[in-house]
Amino acid sequence: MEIKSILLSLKQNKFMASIMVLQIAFTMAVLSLSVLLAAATLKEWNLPSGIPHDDIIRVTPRFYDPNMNVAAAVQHDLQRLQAIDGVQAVSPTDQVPFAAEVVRDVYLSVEEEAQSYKTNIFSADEKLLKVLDLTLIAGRAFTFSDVIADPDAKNSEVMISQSMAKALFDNGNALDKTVWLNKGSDPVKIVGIYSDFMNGETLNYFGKSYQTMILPRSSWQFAAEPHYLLRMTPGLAVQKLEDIATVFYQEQGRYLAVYERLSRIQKRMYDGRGSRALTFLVISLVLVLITSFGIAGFTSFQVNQRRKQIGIRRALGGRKSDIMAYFLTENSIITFAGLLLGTVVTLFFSFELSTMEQQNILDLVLLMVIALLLWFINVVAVWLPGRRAVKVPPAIVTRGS
Amino acid sequence: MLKMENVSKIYRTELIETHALRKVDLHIKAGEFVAITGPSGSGKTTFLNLAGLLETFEEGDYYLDGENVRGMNDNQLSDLRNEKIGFIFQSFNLLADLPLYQNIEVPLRYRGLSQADRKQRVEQALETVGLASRAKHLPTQLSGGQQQRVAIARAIAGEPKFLLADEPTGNLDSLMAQQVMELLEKINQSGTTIIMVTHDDKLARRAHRNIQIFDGQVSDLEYSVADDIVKRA
Repeated sequence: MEIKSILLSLKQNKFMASIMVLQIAFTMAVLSLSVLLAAATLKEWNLPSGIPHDDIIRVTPRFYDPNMNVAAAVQHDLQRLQAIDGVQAVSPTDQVPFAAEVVRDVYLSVEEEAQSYKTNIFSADEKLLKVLDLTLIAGRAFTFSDVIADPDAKNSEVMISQSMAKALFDNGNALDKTVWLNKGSDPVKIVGIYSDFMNGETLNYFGKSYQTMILPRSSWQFAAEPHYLLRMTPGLAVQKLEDIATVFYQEQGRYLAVYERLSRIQKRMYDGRGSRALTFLVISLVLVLITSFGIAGFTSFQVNQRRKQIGIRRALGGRKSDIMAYFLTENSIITFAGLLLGTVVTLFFSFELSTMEQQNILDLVLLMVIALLLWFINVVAVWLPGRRAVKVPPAIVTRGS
Repeated sequence: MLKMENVSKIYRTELIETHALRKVDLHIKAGEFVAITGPSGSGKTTFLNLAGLLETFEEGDYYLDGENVRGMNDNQLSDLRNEKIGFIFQSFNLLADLPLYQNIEVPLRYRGLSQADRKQRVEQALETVGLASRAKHLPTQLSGGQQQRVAIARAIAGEPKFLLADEPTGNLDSLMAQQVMELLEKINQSGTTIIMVTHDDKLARRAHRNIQIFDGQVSDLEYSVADDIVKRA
């Protein structure tokens, strides 16, 4: 390998070579970050929901009259919904599975530097467990008397999911422990642990799909309205959707904003995620294409510029394979420099991301695969113009310059 | 040593056939210094290309150092060029991106010599042409005469049996041309066969033997010192 001569020669073409290095570095960085983000996005794809999502309906009313007694209206709605044939249980909640976006930090101590744990807190009445068909794993479930209706009163007890218990306490033994719902305040005692169900997009993306808590609370008022979750007799959900909507046509002071099965929300969540990952990958693909054309163009340019040089090398005894090896080595040096720089940039940004979002997307094996892929693309991109280079006849040297 | 029998070269396009060389019979012995002259378009360059294995030919046989090169594949020809032939060109044909040292090293690398061996030969060759102190310079930092000496160094570093020189002094002023000629004669005296294409009669007469190419045909010209004197008178 004539690496030293190639380096000396590249020194004479500093500008072009630097631009190629930058382009490859940029491609490496964008491709790596896109693939890493896409991989992180798709990692939590199609996890079990933990609930019979086909048989649960979500109804979201909107109250538009500020003078209305919302708490009473909610009670009224719940009764009417409960009365529909096929409705097994109804519960008002402030968040909906697969769409719980209010992410909260909770703490295990009051210290200033106490570690925070991410979770979605569902405020609901005692029927939520039944609506979602959750299993009580330890402790006790809430009863009607636990549910707080006074907006100014604070909860003193909470139920948490099995995954949340594991996140908070390594051994999952969370019962009777205290957790603070805000930094330094609002302590609550864990009285029960229930089986996991999926929270929402945000925590799902971070690989914390099942970290939830349930507060027994039903303090609904204007601007703090609930969603209604309805557990239907299996198979009846689709058929009963219109009956449910009809209930609201006859009510004053509110309209029906959304009513749908939870399976639809689940699909929406994954669809959004899929298209996001796809967007990343398409951008990367376009970039890779541009870069490979860049490399091919660069080599092609070099071949044209150096026809005489190639002829000289051939006259001096260089075989066709030597000429090809020369161009491959030269471009590999450039590619190597670009990949190195690109990797540094990728590492920098993934560390930034991991500190910013507490999410480690770095995957060194994936990074190596991407580098190898780019290397391979480089080889192909050099190969095609390189074939023209090896066809330069050595007799070119005896023609006038 | 170099023997051509009935060698012809025809360039074909769709419309015409050009007979660049017609049935060349030629025998050049080891150690000869041969000058080849002829008008432009007579076939000198074609002859050089064939002799230097830069082009192939359709008819005849060509024995280089005892080996018939006819029908050899591209790799065999490359290897043979590398080992047996050193080239010197009118326009020097140095690799502009590379310092002198790396320029001279190129054919030695293709031969697969070890680094130590290459170093010894490159330094020796630079010494012979009197440019040992310039090893790290780029060709463009040298004068024309110096560049041609680098090209000669590159040609002799591999200790080839033949030197093929294509108008080696064509781009040089008379003083530099003189120096280059002396260098070639010195190399010839050490046993290397030299075939030199030139326009310059004066240079041609310094060779042992003069061959003229005219209209693709090769013939020996007999010169003697006496002829010269008669002509001058």
